[in-house]
Amino acid sequence: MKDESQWWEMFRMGDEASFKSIFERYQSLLFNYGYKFTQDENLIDDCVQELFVKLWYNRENLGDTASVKNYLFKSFRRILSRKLERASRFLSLQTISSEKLPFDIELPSDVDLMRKERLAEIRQQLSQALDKMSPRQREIIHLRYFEEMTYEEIADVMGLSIKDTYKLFYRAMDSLRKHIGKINLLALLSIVGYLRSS
Amino acid sequence: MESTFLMYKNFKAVDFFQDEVFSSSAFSSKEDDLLFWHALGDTYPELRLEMETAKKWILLIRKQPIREQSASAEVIWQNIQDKLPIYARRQTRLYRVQTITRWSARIAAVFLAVMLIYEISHLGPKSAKTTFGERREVVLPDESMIDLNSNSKISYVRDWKSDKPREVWLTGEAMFEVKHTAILNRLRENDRFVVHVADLALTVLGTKFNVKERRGRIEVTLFEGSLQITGGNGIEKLLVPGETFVYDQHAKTEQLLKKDVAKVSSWTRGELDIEHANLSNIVEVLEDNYGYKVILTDSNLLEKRLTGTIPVSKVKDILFVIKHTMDVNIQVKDKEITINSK
Repeated sequence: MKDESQWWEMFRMGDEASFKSIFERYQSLLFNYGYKFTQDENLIDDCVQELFVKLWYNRENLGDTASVKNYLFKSFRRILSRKLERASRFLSLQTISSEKLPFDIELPSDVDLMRKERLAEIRQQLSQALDKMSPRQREIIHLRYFEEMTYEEIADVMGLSIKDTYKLFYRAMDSLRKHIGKINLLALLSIVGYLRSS
Repeated sequence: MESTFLMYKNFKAVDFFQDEVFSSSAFSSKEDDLLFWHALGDTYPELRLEMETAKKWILLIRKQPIREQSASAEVIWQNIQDKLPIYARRQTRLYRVQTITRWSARIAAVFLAVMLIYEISHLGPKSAKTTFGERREVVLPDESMIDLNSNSKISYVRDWKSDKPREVWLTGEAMFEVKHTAILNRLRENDRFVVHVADLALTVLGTKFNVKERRGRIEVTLFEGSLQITGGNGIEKLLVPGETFVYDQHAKTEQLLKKDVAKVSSWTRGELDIEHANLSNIVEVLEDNYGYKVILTDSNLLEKRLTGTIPVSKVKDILFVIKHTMDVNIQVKDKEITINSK
């Protein structure tokens, strides 16, 4: 996006209007991403605020960025995970490492959509398969399909090497394969059972 | 095309889902992209269901409900703006600590010690005082001006904070010209200026007034603006310019008078402007401001009246005027003045 890189450049030079434009474009996207980690809306708001406050004060040290979105997601994720780790330390004795931070994919439950696309059954299967995955596997699926990020971008946001990003994604697919298969088998068995009993 | 199709021959839903080309083009608006998958389905009909499932998974993930914060973006933006200066302070402090080298730390320590001594020596109450016959101008930290008459004292706490009114304590007589610090629509605690005199508190924002406290009698004359008096005996009065409030601390009586403000302020010009005044008024000045003891051999003398302006900068001048206008004999011995009728 051309105007976006212009905004970024102007913002780095201290232009407040550009800074505000960046905020307006991304604040709701960041909030939505944050909601996957926690339902604590105030905490997410705090993170968004902290991100932009930091951004303003570090603007002179910021470089060119290929993607403003990527940069914001990466920084936001770091702030959020640090806050969540700290919060978990208060709640229980053990600390949740960033590896284990929760991440939820919330599939739509819109009745009309389910009926129209005949999605209900598939939704059920996918939902169960996602539940079997690790939070980071769910996160990579979210970034890949919802945010439509490339592997390079995902690696940057999640703070992983490209190699580990691929590995994480393949493991998520393996998990999906395994559990979808199981569900199909179960469905088949139940049909067989139904036929037998009748 | 056929060889590319072959590649997909054994694909299951998960494989399509995983496939970068499929996931990026299955929802494409370009006809060419869609055509390819249609052709593949025509070639291998058993793949249609798998592709359909993979497509639905992607659709489901994309259609996740969007969560929006309850606070509006405006509010969050406001919060960010509010936080900017705070963050700046913290950042610079951090930066400063990080860049301190050993020698600069030493200099800082010495500097700090000097500052500390300076601060301590200036903490606590500060006061200005005049002796008999002396008059003095005092400038307060907020640039308010005070004319302090003879034998008077004003004290205040040096460090005026923004969350407390500016406060001074007075004994004797003083003319105040208080600096107005309030801005329209914003009144902070320290925009108030309070003079404590005897058991009265005089509260103003910015104005000019004279306070005289002698012999348990307090006279407050307002020149400009408005002034609120509270205190002793549940007094609560609001003065308007030109009014003089007189309060007797011992008798607990109060009185509201109209006075000529030029006469009230005459002392600041080194004069005593009196009209139909008794000798007793002048005796008071001699005793209160100059520390003399005045003895009148004849009590009728107290009722002697005179009108005019008497220079009061020097005792000698006062006595000269009295002697010639009232036709009396005056003897001065040390700090004692005896006035006899002729």
